[in-house]
Amino acid sequence: MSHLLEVSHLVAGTRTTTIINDVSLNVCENEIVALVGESGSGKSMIARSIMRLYPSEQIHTFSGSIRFQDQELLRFSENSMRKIRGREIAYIPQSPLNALNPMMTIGKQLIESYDSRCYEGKSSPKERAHHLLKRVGFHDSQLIMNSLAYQLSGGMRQRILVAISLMNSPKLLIADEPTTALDVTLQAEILDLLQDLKEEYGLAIFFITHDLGLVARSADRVYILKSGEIVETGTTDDLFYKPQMTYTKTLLDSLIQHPTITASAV
Amino acid sequence: MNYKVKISLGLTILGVLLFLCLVGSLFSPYEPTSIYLAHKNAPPSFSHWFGTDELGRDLFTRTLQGIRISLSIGTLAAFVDLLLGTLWGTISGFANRKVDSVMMRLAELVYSLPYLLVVILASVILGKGLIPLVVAMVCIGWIQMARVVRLLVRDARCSDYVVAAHALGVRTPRLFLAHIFPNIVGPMLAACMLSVPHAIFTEAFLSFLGIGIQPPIASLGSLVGDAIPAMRFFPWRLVFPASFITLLIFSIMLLSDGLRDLYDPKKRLHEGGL
Repeated sequence: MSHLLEVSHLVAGTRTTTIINDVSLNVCENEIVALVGESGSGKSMIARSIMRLYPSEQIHTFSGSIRFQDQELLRFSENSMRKIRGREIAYIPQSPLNALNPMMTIGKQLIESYDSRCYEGKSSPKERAHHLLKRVGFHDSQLIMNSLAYQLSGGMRQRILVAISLMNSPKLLIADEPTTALDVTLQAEILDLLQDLKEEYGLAIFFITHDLGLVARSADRVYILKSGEIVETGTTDDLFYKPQMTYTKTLLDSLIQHPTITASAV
Repeated sequence: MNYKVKISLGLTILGVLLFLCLVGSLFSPYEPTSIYLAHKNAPPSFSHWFGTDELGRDLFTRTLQGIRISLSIGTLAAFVDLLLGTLWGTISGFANRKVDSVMMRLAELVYSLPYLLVVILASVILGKGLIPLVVAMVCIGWIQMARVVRLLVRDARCSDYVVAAHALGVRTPRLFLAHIFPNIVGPMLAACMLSVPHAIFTEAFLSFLGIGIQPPIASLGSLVGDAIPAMRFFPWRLVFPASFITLLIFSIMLLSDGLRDLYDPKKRLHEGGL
């Protein structure tokens, strides 16, 4: 499989601290890759670096290479980067509860991101929005299109964000903790949805989480991040059955003590 | 109270006051500045509805003129505040840290000037009257507005939905017009409407000190100021202008409250959707 996204030797830091230290990772086409790490390990920073959405005023050092479809993203101008965002790489931010504009109807937000050049199909933006809303499990899509964010529950908002991110059929979906704000049943629902979408649209998914249960359930490959460095990587099976590093073992041990997650992991 | 009730009640009271001060003088045979010493300090009667003051001037006519002056000072000052403050605040809120610091330090520098000194300086340079008074108020007043707008823009710019829209490749102008602006316009308008009563009170205070509107022209503030020494003997001279100040500010407060709710999606009765 060829590499869709290849991050190599990425270093990022503020004036005083290093947030990411020499991180290299890759995502192949039609693959689900998970990045696991405890809070503060630099997970979100990696995702934001790929999208170039990090707060540039605070980031002092930034080097390495981020290649997407054999193009160096770090050499892109801001304008070319804008054309990649949402069209080639979609990003679902960390908190689904606040990621929708409170003053704009869901329909308008879906249609806003639509770029007709990216989608070869013949459907209009509206049809595409309806189709995707149905796909993520809303039967009455017209009702949802007319709603405002505050009228919807957290799980509904998360599914809408998935629908919005798929409007332009991106090749890669980056999801920053897609399930943190959700309860256990909804977590499973969103993950099943992501897996189905991967099969259906040939999507590659790169998701960030601190929850190993979710990784076991859906990821093909895993990277373990600790204090800004990748400490271990491998297929999900390898990692769960033959962990090499003590840090990974510690993580897995903490998982065993959590009965509900273990049930879904095994 | 529903935002519709607030807005319509506020607009109705404001409309009646506006109508009164524009057309009301047609019902009065007196000029606001003509003196009839024979009728001085007359109580309210059919010939003088609100009574007369110590120079025998008709208080009904003078109160109407006062509303006209106070309202025009208030709205003019608030409007210029809004314009300057929004411009400065938006640029500062969007700019990088250095430009932002320079702009806000400049604003603070102006803000630190003693208010009365600026007013007196403005009246020395521009002469006394309505326009110099507004200029002097705006000199300092726009900074409050700029600060509010800057904070709102900064806050909205870092909010998750703006980052999310940015991540979807939405262009910067659209990011501002469709995502940031609609979410800050409510508090912005509320802050702007609050500067109307502030300007009216400031004018009243300055007139009281003798550096505001100059006699014989009346503003609501100067009428109250003139009436206070005679309050125990001729209370009507105080009651009428004071109640009009109250009414005017009440209606503006209602309007600003209603406008804030109008731009709050949870308070607005949203049609359609769940």
